[in-house]
Amino acid sequence: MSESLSSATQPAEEVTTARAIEHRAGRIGLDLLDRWAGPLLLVAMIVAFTIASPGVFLTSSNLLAVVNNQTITAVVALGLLFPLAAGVFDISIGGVLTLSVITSAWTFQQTAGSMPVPLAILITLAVGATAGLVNALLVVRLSIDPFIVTLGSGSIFLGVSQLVANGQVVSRDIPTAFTDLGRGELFGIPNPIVLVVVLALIVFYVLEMTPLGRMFYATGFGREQSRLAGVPTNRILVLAFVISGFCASLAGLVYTSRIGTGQPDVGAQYLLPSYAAAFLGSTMIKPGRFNVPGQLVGLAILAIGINGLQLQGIPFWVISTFQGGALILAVVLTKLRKLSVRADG
Amino acid sequence: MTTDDAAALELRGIVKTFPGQRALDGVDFTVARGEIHALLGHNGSGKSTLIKVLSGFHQPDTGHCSVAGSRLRFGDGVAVSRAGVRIIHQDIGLVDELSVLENLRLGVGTYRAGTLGAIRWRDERAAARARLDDLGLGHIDPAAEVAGLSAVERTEVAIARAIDDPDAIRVLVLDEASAALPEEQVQHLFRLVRTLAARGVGVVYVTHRLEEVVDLADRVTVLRDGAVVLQESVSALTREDLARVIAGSEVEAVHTSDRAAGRTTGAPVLELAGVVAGRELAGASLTLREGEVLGVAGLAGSGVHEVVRLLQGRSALRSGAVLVGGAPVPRPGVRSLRRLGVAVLPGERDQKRITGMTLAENITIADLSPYWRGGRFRHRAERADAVALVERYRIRPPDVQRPIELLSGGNAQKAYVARLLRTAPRVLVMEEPTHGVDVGGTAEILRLLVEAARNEGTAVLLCSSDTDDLAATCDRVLVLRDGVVADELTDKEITRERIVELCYAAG
Repeated sequence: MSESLSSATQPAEEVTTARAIEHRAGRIGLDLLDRWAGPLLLVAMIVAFTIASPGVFLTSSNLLAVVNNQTITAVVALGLLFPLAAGVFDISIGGVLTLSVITSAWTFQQTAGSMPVPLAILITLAVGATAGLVNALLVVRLSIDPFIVTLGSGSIFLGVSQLVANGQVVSRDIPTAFTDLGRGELFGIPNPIVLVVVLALIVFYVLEMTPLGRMFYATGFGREQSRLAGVPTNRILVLAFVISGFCASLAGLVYTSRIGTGQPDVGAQYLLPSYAAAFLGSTMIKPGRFNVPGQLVGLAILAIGINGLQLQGIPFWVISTFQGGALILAVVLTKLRKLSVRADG
Repeated sequence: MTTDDAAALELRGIVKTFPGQRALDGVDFTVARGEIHALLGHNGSGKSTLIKVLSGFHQPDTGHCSVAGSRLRFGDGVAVSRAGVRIIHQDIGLVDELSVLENLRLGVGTYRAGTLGAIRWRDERAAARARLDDLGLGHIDPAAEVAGLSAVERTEVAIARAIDDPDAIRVLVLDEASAALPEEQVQHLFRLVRTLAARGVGVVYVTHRLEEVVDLADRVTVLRDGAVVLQESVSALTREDLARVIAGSEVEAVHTSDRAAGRTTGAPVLELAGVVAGRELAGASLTLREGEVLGVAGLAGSGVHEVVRLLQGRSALRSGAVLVGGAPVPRPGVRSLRRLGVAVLPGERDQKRITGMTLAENITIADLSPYWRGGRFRHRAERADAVALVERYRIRPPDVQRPIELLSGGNAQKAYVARLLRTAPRVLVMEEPTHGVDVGGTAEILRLLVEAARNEGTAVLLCSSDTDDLAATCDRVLVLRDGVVADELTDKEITRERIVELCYAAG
């Protein structure tokens, strides 16, 4: 009985294998397109703008300025990858960034510039990490929706910043030793860019090349399932918020040291592009996952798109529209991709 | 053509096959008007398939159905409802946060509205009141929030909601409606069922509580392996008769030779001592020994699943103790037990499947430490491990990069078993490990468990409602009733028949 069964299934199996191979060949082509469509788009944009704005767009000064302008967003966005990978939103990053800008400027102002720079940096980073810890404890201990927690706490961090700054720009006694960090160069490359490169490498390493990174993704794809499989999901969530707060405050330091003043309302503008870059990034290189290379390409698409359009003399309101449009487009692409995976099964 | 003397429900010659399995093998099932007809059968007997055929969910291969004399087309849920058939499942689908009145209105008709579309709440309340009174449910306040109702009141509201037009209802199917009800509340449900039957509704009452059948039903149909094995009036039957018919009379002789008596004398590795936990466990004690496969059987609500929930840290330990290797575990939970070498595999798919990750990632997630060497994650070693496990456990298709959601239920289940066995636990707790798995897959999963016990000395706790699995693999079987370990079967006593009989035995 079992023999006749197995011989009966033999040809059918061959057919399915043949189909599977054919099918897989088709899929590999699709997979490649799926992964590299984003980078291709970036290249296409660069080519298009080079032709459209000859001698202006593709110059080292323009490109360096574009990249340098993105460093603050990049630092925030790299930190944001951790909560997103773990499946939670952190929208307090704008508030944390503002709080850090004010904290660093204020510590110098309070001490009439005598505060040692490394100590000021440490204090600021500690404030950012603590803000993340507060978010984490509210989410993990009290099981409150992360979106709501960070929506509220972000507003509180902003309020505290305004209180500390007394509603004004904090700019007295910020030492040049501090602003040199933000304005200086290393081998001809602006320091903030060096920081972004180092940070990107570290984040890439943690997410892609450590078990910890795998546990972030597992928590994001199925928190309860991962917990039952033995992943310490609560610890992962705490870590995600702390890292995100830490990076937001690192971005705040970049801001203060470049601009040289602390404005109590700077953070909000970095929230949307960070999310737009992260979600765009999750549609490429490793589709379906928030990943560092994808995010950097996403950032570049946003920055170059806006820069190229501005060089064409396109008005100011384009920036917000472009970023918002990119965010929604990215989410739509993700949705379509999920549908196609399901249809495949 | 509707006639008064036609049966409320008549199913004739229903055959339903699934790949590799004949779920219903020519079932005839008739319910007269005003009759309360109990439908019995153990797990996999075809009971739920039959109800799904009636509800339009499954299209049978052959057979026909008529309601009150009118022929009914299969596979059309709307037609079923229009013909006056109502089916109430164990999960009764009320919205806790809404009032009784709002629940009665959920998806049924439209609210009475005044000008500008405002709901006329006074009229609505009066109508709801009348509807509840009509069914003898005067004790339920239409304005009460459903969350505050007792278990039986919730069931009553669910039934009242189904009876939206009392004159048009011909057949009411109650699928395990009493499973979640405390003993003392069941009588309230019975009163409502009798009220409906007295009005000529044919009631199909699915249950596993045999004493209810004897109390309530007029006739009984027992299914086994997709066929009707008994269909007669209840008056001549006792509870014991029913249990015997449900279990089947053939004596199982599977693998008994393999049951080594010595195995049950190994060192205790996991113990429950007088555990009171969650809603179900009321002082349960058991000892799991090294190298044995210990089965835990029991009906829904007996505490079988609470044992698993307890070991997952999902239900609170109120008294008693959980001991591993003789030492009490103060707060049993996934991670505290994992550190002690106790791995727990949940029964529900949604608690195991990490959607969005690959087959390989789903297998390795329980322990990534072997791949963390020299400061980086060894993806190649992980892949090699996954490939070897997929090969060993015959997971199909053998593509470790495939998203887990594209695997069939049985193959995914083997992956989850592999996930835990890979960590070489001292104790493996499995809830319904073969649920939804085909025959071949079931045999393989059970083989894996037995091998782990024989070869590695793993202690396996098998919490299953599948008595065939228990009979085939266990060295000992414990039967839970009302939250305590009521019986223990060893060696030759372990037969499917005996397990079923004890599951249904009186408290």
